[in-house]
Amino acid sequence: MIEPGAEDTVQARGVLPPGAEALETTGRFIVVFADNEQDPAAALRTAGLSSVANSRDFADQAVDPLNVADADATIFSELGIAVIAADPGRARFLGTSIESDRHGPILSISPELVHHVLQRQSTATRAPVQVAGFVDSSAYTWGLQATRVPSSPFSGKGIRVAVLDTGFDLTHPDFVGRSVTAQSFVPGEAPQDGHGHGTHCIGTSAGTKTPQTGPRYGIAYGADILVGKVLSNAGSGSDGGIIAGINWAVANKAPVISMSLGANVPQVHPPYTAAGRRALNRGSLIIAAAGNNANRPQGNFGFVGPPANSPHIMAVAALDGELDVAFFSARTNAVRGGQVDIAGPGLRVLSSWPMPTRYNTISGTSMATPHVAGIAALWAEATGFRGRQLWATLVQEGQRLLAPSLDVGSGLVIAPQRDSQSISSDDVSR
Amino acid sequence: MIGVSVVVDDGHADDLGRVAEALRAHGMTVDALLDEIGMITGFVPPDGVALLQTVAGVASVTTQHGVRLAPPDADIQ
Repeated sequence: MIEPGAEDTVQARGVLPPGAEALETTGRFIVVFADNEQDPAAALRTAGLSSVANSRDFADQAVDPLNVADADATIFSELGIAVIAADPGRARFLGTSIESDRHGPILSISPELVHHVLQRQSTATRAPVQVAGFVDSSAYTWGLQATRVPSSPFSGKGIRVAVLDTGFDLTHPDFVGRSVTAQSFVPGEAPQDGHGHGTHCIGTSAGTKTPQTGPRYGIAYGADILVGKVLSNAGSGSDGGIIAGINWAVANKAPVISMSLGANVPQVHPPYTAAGRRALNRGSLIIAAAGNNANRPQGNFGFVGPPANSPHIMAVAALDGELDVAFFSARTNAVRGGQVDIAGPGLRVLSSWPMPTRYNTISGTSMATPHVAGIAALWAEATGFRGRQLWATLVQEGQRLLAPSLDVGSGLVIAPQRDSQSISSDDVSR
Repeated sequence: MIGVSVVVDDGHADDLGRVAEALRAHGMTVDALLDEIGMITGFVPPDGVALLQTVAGVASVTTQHGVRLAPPDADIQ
């Protein structure tokens, strides 16, 4: 945040990254009004700015700079923003309305900056140094640390997370007292997990904040859990059961549907294209594993298979503790929708396992997927976003990585922090 | 008999019952009507898939695929 007076101090702080230049300001200020401010002109006049121009007074709101050269202020009414000519003292005086009342008419005041056509810089640009080597601590798994879950104030409270997998160990002690709704779409099998894969994925996406022993491994600990068993205790299933599970999750208004499953064929499968699109239209985001069909040390990069290669289903790659792509994680497939969209921790992931084993550490894009699903639930709670807006937020907020985008998409999924609600509201934009 | 997934087009999404009746008349054993996502799943003799594509309101008919996880003791899942 650049505030009045910042132009004098930024350089002195010595925080400029290589290639950055000192702020160049015009002497004017940019005022951002609150969303609910009905009469910004009156607010500016109260502050002593008598000559106030408004973009509404121009044809098509195309403000002619020559016409407003003498104005004290110009309001751009479509944006709720004004440019004002004021000395720094008056700008600070205007700014006091922020201090006195958070919901006052003005959200922020910043010096107007001079911008230039971007030029190639003579100094070599260096990629930002990445924090490397995440490992499990006594408090948190490495995946939760890397995705900044521990510092997130959100829990997924009130958000339904549907996990379509091998079911769930309904007797697991880490889930006592949780809201769990279970349904089987596998003929002749109860929702109880006879494999382990489903219990592991539910643990990562929605497990407890305080496990009985060991580090915290679960993300959306306040979410309501929908267990859709679509894979048998032997680990197999077919489109019919998976599609029935998606329909059930959408009917139950789950904003997040996690599917750590897939087939190793490159072609897009039409039922998942339709299911993904219609689920998004109803506010349910389907998140699926990119697949484990790569063997990178052998030069085989694999491909994203169905359902993750469908255009309306988010495909998740797996990362290792150095935030590099895991050796088994499938690469973007050239078909429409076949791209990797985002990445999550997927190597040596500790999570819940059916009793009496209790916990297990395994790897796969299956493990990366519930990291994204759990964090999607946090974002759904933090912003109120659903469907395509939720998708956009996840990729927009992803931490970019040095690994190629065709392996990791928009990078590492990151949990919302205390100030992240500013995406849906300007309440904390300053 | 083989499993099939029928995607109903957007124009018939509110009319799944009628499309299902037509599918039955064309030889399909209907298993489930999935209202939320506009699909019908079921079974048909192997040579009967093409006939289903002619039914009004049908966007696509696809043979069902299977998926299989690695066994529980596998390192990579």
